[in-house]
Amino acid sequence: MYVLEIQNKMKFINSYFLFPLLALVLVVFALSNQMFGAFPLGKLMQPFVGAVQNSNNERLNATRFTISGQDLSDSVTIFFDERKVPHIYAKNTQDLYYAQGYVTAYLRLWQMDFLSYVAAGRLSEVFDKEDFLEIDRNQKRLGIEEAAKKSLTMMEKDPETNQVLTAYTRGVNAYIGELNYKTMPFEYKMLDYSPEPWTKLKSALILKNMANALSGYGEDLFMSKIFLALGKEKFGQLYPEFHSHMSPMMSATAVGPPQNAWPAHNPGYLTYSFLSANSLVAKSAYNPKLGSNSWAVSGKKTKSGFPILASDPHLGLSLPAIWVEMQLSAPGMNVYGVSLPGTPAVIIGFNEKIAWGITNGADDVKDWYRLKISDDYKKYELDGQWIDLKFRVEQIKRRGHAPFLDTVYSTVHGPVVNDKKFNGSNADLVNCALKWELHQPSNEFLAFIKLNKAGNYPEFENAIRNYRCPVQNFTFIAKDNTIAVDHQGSVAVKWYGQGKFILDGTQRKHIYTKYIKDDSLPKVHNPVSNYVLSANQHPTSPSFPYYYNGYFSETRANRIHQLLQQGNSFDIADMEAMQLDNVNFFAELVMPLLLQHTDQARLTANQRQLLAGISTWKGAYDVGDQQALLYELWWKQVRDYTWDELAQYSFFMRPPEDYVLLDLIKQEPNSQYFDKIGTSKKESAIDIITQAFVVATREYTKYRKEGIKSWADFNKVNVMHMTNIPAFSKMDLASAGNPEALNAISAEWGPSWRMVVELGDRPKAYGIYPGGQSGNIGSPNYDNFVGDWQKGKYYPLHLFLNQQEAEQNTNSTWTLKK
Amino acid sequence: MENTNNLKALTISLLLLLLTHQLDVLPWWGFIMPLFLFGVVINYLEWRVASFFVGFVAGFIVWTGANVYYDIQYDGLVLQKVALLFSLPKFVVFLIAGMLGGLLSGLALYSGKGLFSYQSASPVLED
Repeated sequence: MYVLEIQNKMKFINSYFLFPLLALVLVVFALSNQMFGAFPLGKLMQPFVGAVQNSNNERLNATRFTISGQDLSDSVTIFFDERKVPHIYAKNTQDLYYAQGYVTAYLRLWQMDFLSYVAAGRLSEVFDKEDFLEIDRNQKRLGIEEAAKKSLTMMEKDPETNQVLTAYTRGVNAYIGELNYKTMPFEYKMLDYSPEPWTKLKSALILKNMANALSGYGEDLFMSKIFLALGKEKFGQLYPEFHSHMSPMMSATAVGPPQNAWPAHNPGYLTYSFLSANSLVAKSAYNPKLGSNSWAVSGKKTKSGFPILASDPHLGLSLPAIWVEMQLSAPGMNVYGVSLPGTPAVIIGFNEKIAWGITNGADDVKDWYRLKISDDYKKYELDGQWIDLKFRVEQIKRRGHAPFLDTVYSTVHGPVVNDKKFNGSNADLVNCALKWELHQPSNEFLAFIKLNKAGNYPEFENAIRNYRCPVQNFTFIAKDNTIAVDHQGSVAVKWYGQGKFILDGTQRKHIYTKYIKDDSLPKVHNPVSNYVLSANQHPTSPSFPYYYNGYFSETRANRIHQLLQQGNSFDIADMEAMQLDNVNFFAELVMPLLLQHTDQARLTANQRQLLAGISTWKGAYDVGDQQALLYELWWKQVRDYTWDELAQYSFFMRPPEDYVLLDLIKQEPNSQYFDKIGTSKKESAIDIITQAFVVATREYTKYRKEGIKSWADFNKVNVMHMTNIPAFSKMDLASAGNPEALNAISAEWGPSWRMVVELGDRPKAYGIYPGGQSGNIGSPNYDNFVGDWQKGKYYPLHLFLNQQEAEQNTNSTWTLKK
Repeated sequence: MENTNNLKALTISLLLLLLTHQLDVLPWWGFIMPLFLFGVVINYLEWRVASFFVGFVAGFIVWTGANVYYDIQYDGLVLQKVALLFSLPKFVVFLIAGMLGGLLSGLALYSGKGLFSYQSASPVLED
């Protein structure tokens, strides 16, 4: 009846009223999507499901919370301590890794997912910007995803790794399955996409992404060019493999006389006609100074009689932080430390019997081969024969555009990253093949799975043998007072200079196939000095029977060596003080020389006063230090004046090491290098050091006028959100430290996790990282450690010995149930 | 002149908005549909309603109000950072939310009301 009445009444649809309706549809659409680089505003501002809902932290703060319907064999209990560190108690390993996946996803889902996009070269799927296509192409062409796939195949063949990875993945997906628009992480809402199911491949990608960051840096092209430009003798003098200011990992004593001369092994193939005519070397996207410190002291050198280990990996500082802290406990294992979101197990940490730290080995494991390729990219020449060039087609899906198809060629060496269709940033590396250890299948996960359970040195070594790329230094202490450091990874057997320069892709003999056997790799086990250290320095002295090269830095290692030598009754507080030590060992060494070579007669009264000020400086980059900036400016100017002839080369990338310059000032103050180009006078070390000081004082005075007085005013640190959006970042933190000091803080990277562990009846451990446990920008736990990190504070790390202890000392419990 | 039904319509619109927002399964713009239908009903009942205005006010109140409510109820950090992102004071973010909610609700009610014409009612724009 009623319906009929309506039908009767209804006559026509007002056609002009379709306009507001259309407007409505359009507005809904516009507010739902990422358009014109803007955010999906309507969706984001909708109060019941939008951004404001991400401020809801009730679950993380709940006293009790039960999640049922989980695919577990038994229930798992997760205790959150006062800093929201999860302490996971499971009754078997599979449930444990399931819960690790679940809780990591709860804390960091967007971060780990985003990292897998970065690694796989999929950013174009998220961002509709042309720049990202180039980044994605480069990533795909470098073969990161390809390598992750190959490694995953290997990992799946190992039953233990496969079980762990599968359980972790199921845990992550259980959490993703709970999400809807309202509960998904804020970044998905902002960038307008959704979480996709987690896969084992994504975990493998994250591992390869880390390997890329740690071993991606290279100087092969620059070294080749500067070698040709300088000639063998000068090259050996300016860019020596070893010098006399080193504390190699394998010997506690200093290295013997420097080996300046480049030996008889002349890389004869390296000629101007071998290299192309292009002469620019692109600025590297990698940071060769990404370093770390780790050392261990035996109980014979500690107050308590128990061994102590310190580890602080220096990495890019980001929010959400690179690390997430947790305790993993199941029958047969009880471990505490930091985990890499998106990957199972603990990466750096300790259990009741052992503790371990990691630093980058810094060996060069990434080499380039110049190829002869036919114009049509069908064949390449090897030992006089033309061989078929292989290729694969990579598909890059793009938001708002058709997929981009990219052909990547490869040879026996590896992928041809840059070709005539993709110059990338390195025109000079066009038609070069990349041979990189990262491409080899490896199962680093097994290293950590076993390491988490290891109880003594043999078990530790057995675990880390699975670690292949990049080469890392693993420092180790055990309750039985064993201390050790192992330089672990795949290091090829190379002839002298092999891989330092661009290699010849047309000769098979340039391809290395053998590796240094694991038991021949550099390592130190219970040395008489009662301490071991690694800080990206040379692992060995020149007497090591194998050739290797890398991007080593010596200054921090020298300082650690100096400090550890001095004491005999270290305690945890001493180790913390060392990690926060702001002294630049090199600056301390070079200062007397600089003062000695400054001609005071040429200075004004004002400049002499500044010189008097800096003459008492002890090389410390403390927060309030007034001299460090003047030194920085001065030394930079000395370096620039000295190496001005090198900087003239269009391909110039970096000057010789500072220690080379130090020796030059000391031994050859009248060296031709001190002579400035473009002046009629022939300058000596005294001339340029004095002039450099004058220039430095000018700049220094200018800074002071701008209000930059103390070191911390100058050394501002940014801990950036992964999208680089300042509103979600912690910026302009005035900080102590310097890349050359143990407290290696600089603008965007630094100690990403400071940890000190003393083993004994029960481990005593302290640590901190610049971030917070939650990845949610709407959580107070997003960045609550940053302030304390900057101040050099440490938090006690609770490795609970049993579940009762965990229950008594925490106030928030989650239960995952079947 | 007969009294308008604006107040009654506003109350019903507010109720409809709050009710539909309780349904998590709907897309974020789900509240538009009941409001649109309500517009059709208003027209059918021949209520005198300034439909866009009433819809706008209802949407504005709900979107601003609920954002403020949840912001206080929870930790309030996300909108603080969103405000920082757009370099705006936080209250402006609430106002923007209100405008968006208002615009959508207003358009919904207005187009619902005006979409059909009936024999007994002349298709006249009332607002």
